[in-house]
Order: sequence, then structure tokens, then C-alpha cells
Amino acid sequence: MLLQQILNGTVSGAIYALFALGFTLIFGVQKLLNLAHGAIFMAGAFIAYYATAQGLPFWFALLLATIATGAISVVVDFVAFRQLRKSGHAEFAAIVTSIGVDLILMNIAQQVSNTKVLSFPFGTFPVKFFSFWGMRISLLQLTILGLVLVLVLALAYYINRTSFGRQVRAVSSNEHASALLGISAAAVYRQTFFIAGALAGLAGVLIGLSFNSIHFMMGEPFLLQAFVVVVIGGLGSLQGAVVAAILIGIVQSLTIAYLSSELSTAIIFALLFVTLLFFPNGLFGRAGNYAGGSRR
Amino acid sequence: MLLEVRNLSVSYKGIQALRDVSLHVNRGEMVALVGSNGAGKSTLLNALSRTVVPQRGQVVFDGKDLGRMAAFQVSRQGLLHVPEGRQVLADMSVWENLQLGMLALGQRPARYSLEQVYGIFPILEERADQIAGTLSGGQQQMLAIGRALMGAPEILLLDEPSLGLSPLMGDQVFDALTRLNREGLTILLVEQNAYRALECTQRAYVLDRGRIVMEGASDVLMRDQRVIESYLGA
Repeated sequence: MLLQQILNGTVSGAIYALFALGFTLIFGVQKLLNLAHGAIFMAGAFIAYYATAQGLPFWFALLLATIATGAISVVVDFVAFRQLRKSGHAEFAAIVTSIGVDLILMNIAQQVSNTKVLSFPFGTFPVKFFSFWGMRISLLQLTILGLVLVLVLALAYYINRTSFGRQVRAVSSNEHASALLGISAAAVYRQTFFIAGALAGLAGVLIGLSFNSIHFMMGEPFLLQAFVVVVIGGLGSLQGAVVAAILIGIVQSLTIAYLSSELSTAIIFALLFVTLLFFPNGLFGRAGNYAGGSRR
Repeated sequence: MLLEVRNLSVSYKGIQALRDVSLHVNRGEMVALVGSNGAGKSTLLNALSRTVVPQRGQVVFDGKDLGRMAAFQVSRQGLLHVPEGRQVLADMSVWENLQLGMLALGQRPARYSLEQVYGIFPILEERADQIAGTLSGGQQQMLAIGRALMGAPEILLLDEPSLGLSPLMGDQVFDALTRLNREGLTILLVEQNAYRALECTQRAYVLDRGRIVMEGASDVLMRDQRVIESYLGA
């Protein structure tokens, strides 16, 4: 029972990680909070839902939703952030503009869905279970774990080992010096927004499928949770986001199983404060690296 | 003429930092910009690399007007600026910093290979895997110059390369620059230490409160009474 809950929590945590990775990637590079990230996540679920409703195969709907949310995210950057960056002190204004985009996207989704809760038709993903060591894991859970593992490794490789990743890190640590090296910060922003949006959209589809529920406000609790993930993991730290997301997934699953589902939010935030007590910069954060770092 | 600046004026937060500055640098030259603190030397380099946008004036580099370009595009033309304070990417390795330098190539061919840069600054090869922020000031300066060389500079703008370095390190950096210039690299040098700057350059401009007040051959300026009184501390 305990192991089963830990397994279930790990799977949820893996999806949270996809969501939080994009959020923290944007924060790491731009020092801006993208509060439209939850709506982009929701858009992913919506796009996949309507695509399958049109009779498209699920794998194609998943791919479509991932690419489309990447594109939406680039548009969000263009609309909500691009102009603000020029001002050099965009932190506060970006909160307002990205909430604006968040509300617009939610409003559109509300209109489209008539405020109804949608769900993928039964059998969208084959229902199949495997048993081992007294635990049960569904094919969907297994697929999610595999997919997230591959994506996290790919992202880590991309950021740490490729020229593009070096550009991302260069812009995030010193935009001024990066420009002198011939790096286009705008291009780096576009690409990070695309990746972040695509990961969020994919997470939206997976959550919509796992919880069998898609609605226009589904992104908001995840956005709030992403804050917790990012702070526990360490601002701007990608490995921190993955570890913290899985940790939160497990804690949440154990709370629901052994205490009560109403308590899970309170316990997660309590976990946040306890973590900060011992790790003021989060588990993987470095002092002054991102939180106090200035945009130049 | 590789670089020509005509009537450049720059204001920063309401303060006019440069007024009507005109200068030129020929291919293969090493030219110094001297002047006291706050004379506008760094502002001039920033305006050339477009990290600061000038109010008026024209910068023509290699026959191209840089007027509408963003900083990263100017770098890709081969006008490479090694800024004050070196600005190495502190949490990345020496090797990664050098690799990033190659982005300035754009479509242009490389001019210095990694081996050649390691040949000029052997310490960079020894420390290739070290995090740049842990290097000494002199080593960081060498990295900043090496990184710019990876981007095939047509002209190298250097802002106070010896600032904060030990005299020995400063000498090493200047020796390397002199050698690079002798091998054909065009350099525009800003240096607080006017004596050192005039000693290693062919021509120089003297900047005072945002204006060019004197120009000429470096060895002539070094013997000029006004220069000696104001800048050489005689």
C-alpha cells in the first residue's frame, strides 16, 4: 500500500515536473514569472481533447497539443513580455501582463467548452495494468514515467551539452555580455518559451488523461503548485524542479491516502516552509544566483 | 579605413557623455583612447558595440553603417568588444566561454582556432575545465580576450584590460595584445594608464569630458607637454 502510493505519487510528480521545468526555465533565463503558464497547460489539454474529438489518433493529438502550446507560449512572450524587457525593470509589469494573458486564454477556453468539464472518451489510451511486487501500474502511468524521463534527460542534455544550451545559460547569467558575444537574446527567449510552453501543454494532456477531467480552470492549481516546486527546488534550478516536483507528488499522494485530501494543499505549503527553514535557497538553489540577480 | 566614427553624441540619463566625437581606425592599426576617469572612454566603446544607443552620429565599420544594428549583430560583423570588468560567464567553464565566443562568427570564417588561442594564452588550456568565475583577474582577462578571438575579430575593442591586475599580469596581457597587433589584428584600446597605452600603440586620441581634445601619433603625444601634465603625471 505504501509503495503503491509512492509509485502513484512519483507518476503525478513526474507530470508536475514537466510543468514546473518550463516555468523555472523561463524564470531562470528572464527573471520573470510567467503567470500564463497555467493557461498554456490547460490549452494543451483542450487542444488534445478537441483533436481527438475530431477523430484524430491520440498520439497525433498529443503531438499537436505539444507543438501548438509551444507556439502559444512564444506568442505570450511576444505579447506580454517582449515590450517590457526593453524597459529593464519588468518584474512587476510582467506579473500583470501575464495574468492578463492567463485570463484571456481561460476566457476563450470557457467559451469554447461552455464551462463544462470535458473528458477524453473511454479507451483513448489503452487501459491495461501490470502487477509486480504487489503493486499495480497502468500502461498510462508507465508511459508517463518513460516519457518524462526521456524529456528530462533530453532537456538536461540540451541545456548542458549543446551550443543552444550554452546560449541559454549565457543569457540567463549575463545578457549584456552575451550580446557582445553575438548571442541574440530574443532568439534565446523565443526558444525557451517554446520549450516551456510545449512541456506545459504536454503536461496538460497527461493530467487531463490521468484525472479524466479537462476544464478551463484546470491550470491554476498547477501554477500555484509550480511556485512551491520552484521555491523548494531552488529558483531557476532545473534539477531542483524535478526533485521537488516528485517529492510533492509523493507527499500529496501519501496525504490523500493516509490523512485526507483536503489537507494536501496545507501540507505541501507546510513542506515549503520547513524546506526554507533548512535550505533558504531551496534544495538546489545558490545564494544570490537568481533570486537576487539583476537583469542587465 | 576599417572603422570611421562621425560626430557621435551620446547622452546617459540626461548627462551628455559624448559630444561630436569623430575618429577613425585603419586596418592593422593599434589605436589608444586615453583620458581621465569619466571622460567618456567606456561610453564610446559601448556606443561602437551598440550596447548604448547614440543620439546622433554615424559609425561605419568595414563599409557598413552600424546605425540600425543591435549589439549582437554588430558583434557578428567582427567588431568585438571586450568590456570593462571582463564579463566572463562566471558559472560556465573556460572551454564553454571560448565556445560561446564562436557565435560571433555568424557566417564569417574563423580567424583563430581553439589551438591558436590556447597557444596565445596557454593558461586557458590548462584551466579549460575550470569554472571561469574561479580564475584570477588576469586569467579572466585572458579568457575574455581569447573568447573574442574565437569570434574572428576584424577589430578588437578593449576596455581597461589591465584594470585590477598585478603589474606582472598587466604586462603579460599587453605583451599578448602587442603581438596580436603585430600579426595583423586591429585594436582600439581604452586604458587608464596613459603611459602604457601610448607606449604600445601607433596613434591615440585624447578624450576629455566627452570631446576629443587631441589626436596624433602616440610617440608624439607622449612628449606633448599638455599630455604629460594631464595624463602622464609628470
